[in-house]
Amino acid sequence: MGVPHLTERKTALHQRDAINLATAWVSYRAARLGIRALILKGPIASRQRLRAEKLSTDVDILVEPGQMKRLIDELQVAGWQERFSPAIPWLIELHSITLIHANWPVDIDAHHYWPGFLGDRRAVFDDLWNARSSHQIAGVTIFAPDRVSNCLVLALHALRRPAAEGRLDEIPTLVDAAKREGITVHELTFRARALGATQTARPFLQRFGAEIPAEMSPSDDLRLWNLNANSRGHTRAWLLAVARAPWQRKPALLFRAALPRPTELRGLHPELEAGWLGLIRGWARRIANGFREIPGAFSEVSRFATINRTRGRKR
Amino acid sequence: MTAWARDTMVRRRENIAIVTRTNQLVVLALDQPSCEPFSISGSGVDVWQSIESSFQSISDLSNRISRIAHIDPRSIEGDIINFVSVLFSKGLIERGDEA
Repeated sequence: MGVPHLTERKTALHQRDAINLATAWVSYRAARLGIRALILKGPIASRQRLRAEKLSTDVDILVEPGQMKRLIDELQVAGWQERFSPAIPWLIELHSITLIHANWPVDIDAHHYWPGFLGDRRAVFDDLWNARSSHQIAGVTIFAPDRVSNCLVLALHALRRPAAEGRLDEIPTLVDAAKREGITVHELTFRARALGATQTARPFLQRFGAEIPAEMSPSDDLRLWNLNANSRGHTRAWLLAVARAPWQRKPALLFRAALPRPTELRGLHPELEAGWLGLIRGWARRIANGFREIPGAFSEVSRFATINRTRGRKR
Repeated sequence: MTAWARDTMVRRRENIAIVTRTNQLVVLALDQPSCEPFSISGSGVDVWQSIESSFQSISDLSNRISRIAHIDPRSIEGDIINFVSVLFSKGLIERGDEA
C-alpha cells in the first residue's frame, strides 16, 4: 500500500467535476442562508432528458427576488469575484451577475430573474419554486425547476437573441425531447401562461403544436423582448438610449456608443488582442457593424419610441 | 491542538460534496469559509471511504485498511495519521475530542 495523499486541485479540476461541485456548493450556501434558489439548465436539463449531455462552462442559479446581494456577499467571502460588466444600455434589464474564481475553471451565473418570463418576478419565482424538482449532485440535494418549466427556460434561452447567438436550431431538438418525455402541449401552455411566457416562447410553443395568436397590443416588456431578439450587437440598445435621452445628452451618448471606453470595449470583446492595436481594431469593427445594423435598427427603434409616445399621450 | 495518536477518534464531517472518478475522488467541504476542492487518489481513496460518519479510532481505521490491503496495520498507522491530519486541516473530518 502506498502512502495515502491528498492534493490541492488548483488547476487540474476537470470541468465536469467542477460544474457538479460548484452546483452543489452554491446550492448549499444559498440554502444555508435560507435563500431559495433553483439550478437552471446544465446537468439537470440532461438528467431531465431535455437535451443531450454537454459540458457546461457555468452554473446558472436563479435566486429568489430580493436575495441576490446576500448570496453574492456569501460567494465573495469564499473567493468568487464579480466579472467586469460594462455599464452600457441593454434592451432587457441585465439578468445575471457572473462570478469567477481564480482556482475554478467554471463560472457561476447568478440570475435575479429569467428573461422571457414576463410575469411578476416574485410570482414567477414562487411558481417555479412550488413546482421544483430535487436532485442529488455530488451527494448534495439541489433544487431545479420541474421538467415542464425547465423546457421553457431552455426555449427562452434559445429565443432570447437568436439573431446574435444562433441558438434557434436548439428549438426543434427541444421540442422532440419534450415530446419524447411525454410533456403535453397543455402542460406547456398552462405553465407558459402562469409564467408570462406565452408570447416570448411562442415560436417554441407553436412548433410544439400550440395555437398561440400574436399579441395585438404587446406590453413594453414584450416589445423590448422582440427588439432584443432581432439584435446582433448593441446598436438597438444604444439607439433606444439615445432616443430616450434629453437632447443635450444625445451627442455624448452617440459618441460613447461608437467609441466606448477601452475598459468597456474589452469587457464587451474579451477576445481583443492586448495593446492599442487591439483597441483600434475593436473600435473599427464596432463602427462597421454599427453602420451595417443602423438602417434596420433605426426603423425598429423609431417604431418602438413612437408607440411609447402614443401610449404616453393616451395615459 | 492535541497531538494525533492511535486512539484519536475521527469521523467524516457532514456536508461534503464528492465526485468520484476511477481511483480518485474530488471532495469539497461545503461549510468551510473557502471554496477549495481537494483530490484524493490511490490508497487515499480507501482511507477516505473507510472513514465513517460515526466516530472511530485511528487504530480501528488502520485495522480496517490493513484488511483491505492485506498488510500489517502497524506498518501503515503512521501514514494514516499523517493523511488524516491533513484531512482534518482541510475541514473534511472532525476529531472526537474537538467535536
